[in-house]
Amino acid sequence: MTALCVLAETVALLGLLAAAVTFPLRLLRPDRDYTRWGQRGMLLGAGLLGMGLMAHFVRRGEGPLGDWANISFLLVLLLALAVLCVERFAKRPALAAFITPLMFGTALLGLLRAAKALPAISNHWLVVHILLSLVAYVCFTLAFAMAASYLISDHLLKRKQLERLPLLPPLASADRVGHGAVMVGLALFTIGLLVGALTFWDFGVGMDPKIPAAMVTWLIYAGYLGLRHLAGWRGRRLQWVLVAGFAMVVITFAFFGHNAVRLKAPDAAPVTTERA
Amino acid sequence: MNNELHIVAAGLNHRTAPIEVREQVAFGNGRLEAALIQITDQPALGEAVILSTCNRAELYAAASSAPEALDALARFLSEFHGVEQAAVSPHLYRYEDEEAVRHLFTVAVGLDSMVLGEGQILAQVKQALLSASEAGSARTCLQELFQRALSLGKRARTETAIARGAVSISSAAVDLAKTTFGDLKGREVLVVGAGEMSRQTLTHLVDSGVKSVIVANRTFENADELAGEFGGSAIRFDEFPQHLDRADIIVSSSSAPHAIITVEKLRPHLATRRGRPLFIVDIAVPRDVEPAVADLEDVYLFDIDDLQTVCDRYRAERAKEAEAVAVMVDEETRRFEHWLGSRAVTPLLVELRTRTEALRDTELERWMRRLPNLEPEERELVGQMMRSFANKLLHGPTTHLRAMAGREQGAEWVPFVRSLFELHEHIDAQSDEEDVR
Repeated sequence: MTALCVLAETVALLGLLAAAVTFPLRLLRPDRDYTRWGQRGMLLGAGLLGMGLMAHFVRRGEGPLGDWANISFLLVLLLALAVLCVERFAKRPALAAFITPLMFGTALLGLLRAAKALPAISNHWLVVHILLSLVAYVCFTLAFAMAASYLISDHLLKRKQLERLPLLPPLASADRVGHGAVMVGLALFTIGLLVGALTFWDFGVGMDPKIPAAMVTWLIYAGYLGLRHLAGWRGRRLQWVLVAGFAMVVITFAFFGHNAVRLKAPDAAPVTTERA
Repeated sequence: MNNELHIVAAGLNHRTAPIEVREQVAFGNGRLEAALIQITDQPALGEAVILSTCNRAELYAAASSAPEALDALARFLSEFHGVEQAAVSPHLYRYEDEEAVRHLFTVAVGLDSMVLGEGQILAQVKQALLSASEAGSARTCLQELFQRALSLGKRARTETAIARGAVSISSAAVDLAKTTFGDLKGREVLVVGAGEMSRQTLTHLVDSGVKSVIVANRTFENADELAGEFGGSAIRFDEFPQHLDRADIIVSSSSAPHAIITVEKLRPHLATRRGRPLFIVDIAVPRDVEPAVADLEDVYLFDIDDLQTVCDRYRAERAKEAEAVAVMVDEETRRFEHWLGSRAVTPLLVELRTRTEALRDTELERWMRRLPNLEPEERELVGQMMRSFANKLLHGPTTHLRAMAGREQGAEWVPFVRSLFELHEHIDAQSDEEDVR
């Protein structure tokens, strides 16, 4: 079973790698379109990871929040869903170029951290906190993709390199969708933070580096909305705020997330390190 | 008698004739109806369609003799317009049979247009067919030909990129504006200058749904007239800087000898705009907008050379598609030729079947008289056997003739089969058109 899991995870990773290469390549070389293979790779990768989550649940009775790998895989699945939605509604293939490398990175990070298992989470509020945060991360990723698209379009327009523009959404659309994603993401992130803070308070956990990082992330996105709605900002500079916000999301997820292992929840099960 | 029908085309277009000649033979202002009535009176022509646009005047006909029909068309063109034939003839092209069919298909797909792949020609071909149908000058053959041309024209534009992208300065400007804003609905446009280029660009912008139009011009009356055309408002020329903070799109095409939109003028408005994108199209020569404006943040400036580059790129992309479209034209030409050829053998096939059935019935009747003791069921059985035998006998020649019909040597088979089966030439192709269908 373990060998089969390793094989499935390796194939999934290769599929995601194909997506992470072909989609950005489309943006760099508009005349070469290999995104069909990338899309297949993404679907294969996300599908296998989803099946892995199911197998994990069936075999060990653990939900998707059982260990870091599973959390990462769940995030990859949610990102794949976001890519499919973006492709279906925006019909701009280059948008996936910004998300698919992140999917690959998230899956790789999850596998590298597979050995660092979490205490089994049976506290419902903690589950709500994690799930809300994950969906908020997906929204922030989408906002980042839109901001990156905006900045690249701006660059291309300024340099009159117009051949690649049809691959990207128009400036106004990227701005509007990015704004919508932040509105939804920040609302979920705020609720998730409040739920998390109250749960940690109950457990008597002290200062975790993840907490100030999350606070900085929240402040950046709140600042974005404030600048947009109160000061009436638009345009290129506002997109950089989204990039900064996303950088903080990555830092929070990649570097500080593991500190939650320290969490000693009263109802936490013993730590396990072996992945089925 | 020869049952073959020939498609012929004669005309002139923007490649073969200057505007001075084209305007003399144009069928405009209600003259088309009169021309269609007159052209059907020509004895050499069976059917006729007139395609008249600003770039071409072409006459298509279906007739039994191609050279006579072409002469009749050339004569009609000059006589109808009262122009010396010698003045028109050097510019006239004449096509017959496959070349005439291919020419119409090439016109319909836009390969013969001044702007490759332009869509207006398809509507003009459709109108030409409609007018000819109403006048009764387009019947079976030209109806089929023009319907195929229309269908091919649509297919070429949907299945290839022959009609993709902007190819005029004004439409390229609007395409670029859409790249910036996506949907132009609700956008505000400031137009500086009220010339023809401004009008053309405004037409595209208003069609794309812009919310408000403000026109500034040195001659206020011209600004007022242009703004009135598009439901906008006019302002005096020196008032336009006051609107720089509100506009999303600026179209500048004044005849000012120096830049009228400068960094100095624009910078104070950028603080008010707070990063809202400003799209400027400068289609004036000399330029109205200082080039350094392009360096300002969230300002996107395109001059006439940039727009020309966009047009050139799209033209090049269309040219790449021309080869694929030409293949489609060739295929459709072959299909039509086959249809026309099979139409030529239809009277022969009808005659062959009629003769065989008549022989069968005669023989059946004769033999039934000699077999009076047969039961009705047995008589019916013998009748069925004879019908089956006749069908099987005709199947081979029918299939072969239909297959040969579209080919070059197909017509040679008609007298041969007539002679072989002792058929008399009494069926006229014209009278059997309905059978062909």
